[in-house]
Amino acid sequence: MRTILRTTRLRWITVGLVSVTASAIAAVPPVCQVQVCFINQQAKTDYECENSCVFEPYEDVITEVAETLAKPEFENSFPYVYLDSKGLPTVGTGHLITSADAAATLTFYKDDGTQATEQEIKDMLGDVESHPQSAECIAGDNSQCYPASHYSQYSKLRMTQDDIDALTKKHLADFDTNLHTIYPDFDTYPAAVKKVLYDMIYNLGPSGIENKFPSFTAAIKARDWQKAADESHRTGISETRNDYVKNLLEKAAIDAAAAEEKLKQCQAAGGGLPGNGATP
Amino acid sequence: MSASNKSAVNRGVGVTIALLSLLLALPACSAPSAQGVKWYAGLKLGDFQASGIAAWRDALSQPWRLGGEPVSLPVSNGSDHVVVDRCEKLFPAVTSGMRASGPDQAIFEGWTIKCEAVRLLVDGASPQKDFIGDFPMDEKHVRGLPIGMAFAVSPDDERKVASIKSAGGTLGGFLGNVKWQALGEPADRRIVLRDDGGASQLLSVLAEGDFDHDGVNDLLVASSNSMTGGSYHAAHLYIVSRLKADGPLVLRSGK
Repeated sequence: MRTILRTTRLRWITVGLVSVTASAIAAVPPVCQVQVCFINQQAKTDYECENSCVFEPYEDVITEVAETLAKPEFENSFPYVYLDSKGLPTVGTGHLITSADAAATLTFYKDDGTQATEQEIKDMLGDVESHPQSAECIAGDNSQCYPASHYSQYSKLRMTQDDIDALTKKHLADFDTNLHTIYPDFDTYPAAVKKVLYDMIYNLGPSGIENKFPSFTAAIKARDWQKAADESHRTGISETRNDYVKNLLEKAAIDAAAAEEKLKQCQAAGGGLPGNGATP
Repeated sequence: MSASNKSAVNRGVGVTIALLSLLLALPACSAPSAQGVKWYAGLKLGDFQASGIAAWRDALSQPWRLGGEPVSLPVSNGSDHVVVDRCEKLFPAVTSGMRASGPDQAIFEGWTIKCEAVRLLVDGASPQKDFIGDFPMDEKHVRGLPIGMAFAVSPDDERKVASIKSAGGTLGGFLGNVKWQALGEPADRRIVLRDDGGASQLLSVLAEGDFDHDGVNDLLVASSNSMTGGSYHAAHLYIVSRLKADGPLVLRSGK
């Protein structure tokens, strides 16, 4: 579907509208899927009213999630390579290094601040892997695992925080396919809900979020953010992280109720109907 | 020393030869003590696995080593920060609500389970009665464990557990399509359960004896839970008992 929006008095632009479909137009309105400047607040409201969607302030969801995950009480972030509890080389915020060649594509620095060569990176990886996690650790007995900090002495090279953040964003983006498969309307969810889903899929894995949280998943699909908040609790993780998720969903529920009311009012007033001032 | 402990020691001295014979007959990975408690391969403090209760008691104050190297974990509760490298430092840290950061929290929980198990072991007594008998960690026995040991991660899981519990069901009622994989030798009493939903649960019998001092034999069982493809991890320690012949297995401590 394509439409033309009048964004200023002097010029018109054409934008592609992304699937604000009938199925997405539920009681809780979706986020409008256009990025455009309106001539004034009324034009924006008219657009929302006509399309039964709402705009929200722009947020860089992936960046915010990456920063949150890097906090110590979440996943933490390590500038050096360590072996995780599965015995796999890992760096940054849980970024798996799948091979020596993959490691060599990353940017590491030596103590003197100069960039490490590919060979130096491969040598460092070999040093780390020469201190493997035990079979008991890999099977799930975590008292038999070396902590991440233990590998600091073997992993002489370091990544910068900026490079780690970029890796984390890529890691999160890798979950996009899974999230769109589980939640086909993912793009129309508010930023707060997207943050929740990234956090949960990172922690539970794609299978876990879908199969272990069916009521949560159903509530998300029904855009019932309060119900999703009530069904989001993960037994066994820190309450700080559980509260982070619950608060985001409850905020989304409050915002959605306000948006729903706003749309009701404007539609009751005839807004969005042809001839009532809505664009175009 | 309690009356039951004195009794246990006296009886232990009186049956030394029988115990030695029993020791030879037992799998190499289990070790009975003079107190009538015994432990299995899963009970290790890093590299350390003791040959007697006195050594386990000493181990609580000894620095941890893993692969011959010292191990320590920085932990914090937001206001206080300490480095934990032995059980006697871990206990007050846990009481103060301290946690390790990121992936090290799973390791901290792993050590917490082991240290607590050793503390229960050294305080354990010889059971007067045993309604459990031999308890191999095979599918049949695991299905009969208390429902409270289920790896419940979500509110959906918690409701399912509550429903099964109210109907008098066991862990078997919670488990769906599970792949069973023994870890080590069967006598080690460790098994990994993996379900279609990505859940992985390592169940280990760490020790047996009378740990709640009711005169009845108990199992100390550790559960290490994780999700495939995710960073989730949680660990629990349970005291499991059977209070009468033909009775169900029940949780005496733990979730």
